[in-house]
Amino acid sequence: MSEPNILLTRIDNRLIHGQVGVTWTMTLGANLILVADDETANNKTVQEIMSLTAESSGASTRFWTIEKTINTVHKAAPRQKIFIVCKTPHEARLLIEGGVPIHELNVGNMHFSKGKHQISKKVYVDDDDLTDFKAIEEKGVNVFIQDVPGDMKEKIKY
Amino acid sequence: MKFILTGHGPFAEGLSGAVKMVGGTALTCDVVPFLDDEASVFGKKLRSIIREASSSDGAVVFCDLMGGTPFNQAMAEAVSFDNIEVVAGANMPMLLECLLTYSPGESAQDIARKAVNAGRFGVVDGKVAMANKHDEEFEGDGI
Repeated sequence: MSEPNILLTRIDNRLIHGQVGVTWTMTLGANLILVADDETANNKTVQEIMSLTAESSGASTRFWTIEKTINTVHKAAPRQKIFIVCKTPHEARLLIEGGVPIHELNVGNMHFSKGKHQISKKVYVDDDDLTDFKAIEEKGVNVFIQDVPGDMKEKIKY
Repeated sequence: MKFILTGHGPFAEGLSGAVKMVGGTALTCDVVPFLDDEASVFGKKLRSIIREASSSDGAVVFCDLMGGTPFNQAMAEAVSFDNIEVVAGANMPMLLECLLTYSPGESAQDIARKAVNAGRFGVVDGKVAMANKHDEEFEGDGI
């Protein structure tokens, strides 16, 4: 079976919102936004609202748990151009270690919370985040910080 | 192809700023605001920008309101050129769609048609949209 066509994976605290549902999806030419998040997978209302946002870009949406994503994504048809979104680097790491063929990881929004320090305009991290990023990069994934297409890409500085 | 954004007061700057926030700073338009204290020179300024665009690839002029001064001035100039279109009722979905999906070679008419479509489809009653949403079924393989 051929690899699912995953155009990009993005870490964004807000999952699907304007920049993701419209800008990134249109720029990538994705027709399927796959939100890999255990909490969202169990919240129908949030799913409905997020899929409205995605509608404006013409993409379909899936809201799956991390486990379901790992087990099911390889069944994608070749015509499906997938954009995966998850909340944190830890979830991205679980997907990658679970065998989801992710080659490019875009770091979008990681909000401030206590104990985190700022490494880019929209990105705050703590030591656990950095450990996850290191593990991801060691697997050969290209990790870059970029809020919207057209912004300069930055690498994670450890 | 030029994307010219015009309207009353802070409309054009405001919309332009919002478009950049969602769509990225690469999405630039020529912003020509119609301000009270510039009323006497606005028309000349807008029309000269449009004329300049017409001599290269053309332009689409996005205006806030049909019948307002920005729209009237734009139309007065646009009628002389085949590669200039004017769209009134400019909104976020319209600008985002036109700027994000622009490909070189698109005519001003193509863009204007896209603009009207996107602008209209972007006007949504949230709760009605949610109520009308049904789970999609797809045929064949895939996820």
